[in-house]
Amino acid sequence: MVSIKESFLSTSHGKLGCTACHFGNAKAKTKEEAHVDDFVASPSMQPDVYCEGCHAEITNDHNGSLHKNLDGYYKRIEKRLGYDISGDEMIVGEFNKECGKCHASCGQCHVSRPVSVKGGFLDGHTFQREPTMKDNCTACHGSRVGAEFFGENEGMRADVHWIPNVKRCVFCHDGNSMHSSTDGATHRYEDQDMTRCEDCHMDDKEANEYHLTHWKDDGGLSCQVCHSQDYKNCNSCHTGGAGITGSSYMDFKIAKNPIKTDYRNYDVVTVRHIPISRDTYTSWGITDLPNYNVEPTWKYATPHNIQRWTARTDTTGSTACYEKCHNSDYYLTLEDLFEEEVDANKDYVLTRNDN
Amino acid sequence: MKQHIAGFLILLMGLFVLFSCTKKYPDQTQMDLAIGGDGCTSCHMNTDLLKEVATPQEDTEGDAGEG
Repeated sequence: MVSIKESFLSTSHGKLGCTACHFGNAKAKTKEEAHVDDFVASPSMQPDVYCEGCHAEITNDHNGSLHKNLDGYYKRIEKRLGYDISGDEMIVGEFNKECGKCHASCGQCHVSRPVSVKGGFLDGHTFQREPTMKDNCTACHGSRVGAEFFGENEGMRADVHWIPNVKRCVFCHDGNSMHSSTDGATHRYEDQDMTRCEDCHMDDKEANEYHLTHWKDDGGLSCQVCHSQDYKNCNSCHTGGAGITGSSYMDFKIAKNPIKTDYRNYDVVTVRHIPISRDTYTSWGITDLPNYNVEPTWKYATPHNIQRWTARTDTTGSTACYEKCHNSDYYLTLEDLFEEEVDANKDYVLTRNDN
Repeated sequence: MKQHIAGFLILLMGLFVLFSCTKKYPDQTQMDLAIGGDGCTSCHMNTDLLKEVATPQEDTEGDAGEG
């Protein structure tokens, strides 16, 4: 139900008049007459047409954004299938139907909630300069990131960076990093606009013996290895409405960095089990993923539940500083892997004598 | 005579300012009034009417969200 507030009419977008963006027939007496052929329900799905006139720079940046092109999903499917799917109308159609619900148009962040949660205006069609955490960011990034950040997982505290009405998602993820992605990035961690802990915390580099030992310019541990709490992992998700058919569970695992680059050069990182399986896309007519092993199923992760004191950093009662971590169950080992995913992860597992 | 010319010029300037500074787009309430109150907002600000004519959204399949 598209119910606009009177206050919208006095905003800069409201003053344009409805038909400037939505077309249709403003003089019509009925809904059917008003929503004639040229009527556009969601203009910002075509930002080059409807937004660029006033917001050229952002619109241009957004064209390469993972939020827009969903390459984080799309390219993973192609990699595991082993071929370009752009010419496969059925697969692309199914992708757009299911994965496309998280496609973030301008409007789905600044005017309404995203399609994945059935939309709904944020404030009677008034454009919001800053998307809301609950209705926008965590509407899509909710089950893992959102729950972690707000401390909604049983026994886990909220992220230390979460201060209601003070520190919101945009405190770290500013407009520039959300609107654009590094050229050619097909994964969020390839995007060098994304914020990193070090952007704010470099002054802490030599703050204690742990940092001196593990915070290295040429590798070391990612910050989350010590400062994340347990986080959610999932097994076996299926398209076609089935969703998670395996389990969803809290865990904490560290492994060799599967995407080591100059930008994210940590040797050891937190990894999260993702719910891919060989038959994930069966409802799309894909009965197997021939290149299933080219991507790890325990993936580089940045859990959003940071605390100074965690099960790793609180060494109370330990006889040695490394007692909590070294050779511990936190290590992702071969024993943690399902048989079908050994090849996909074997290069990244740790062995208990890896220090 | 000079006073008449000066007054005429001031009037011309006033008319120029008046007509050249109108908004490119009329604001919404003016637009609705101009079309007899039957514009978009007369429906889209009428909650009872919207409830009556709104098309229910289709149920979406499966889990929503990236995680």
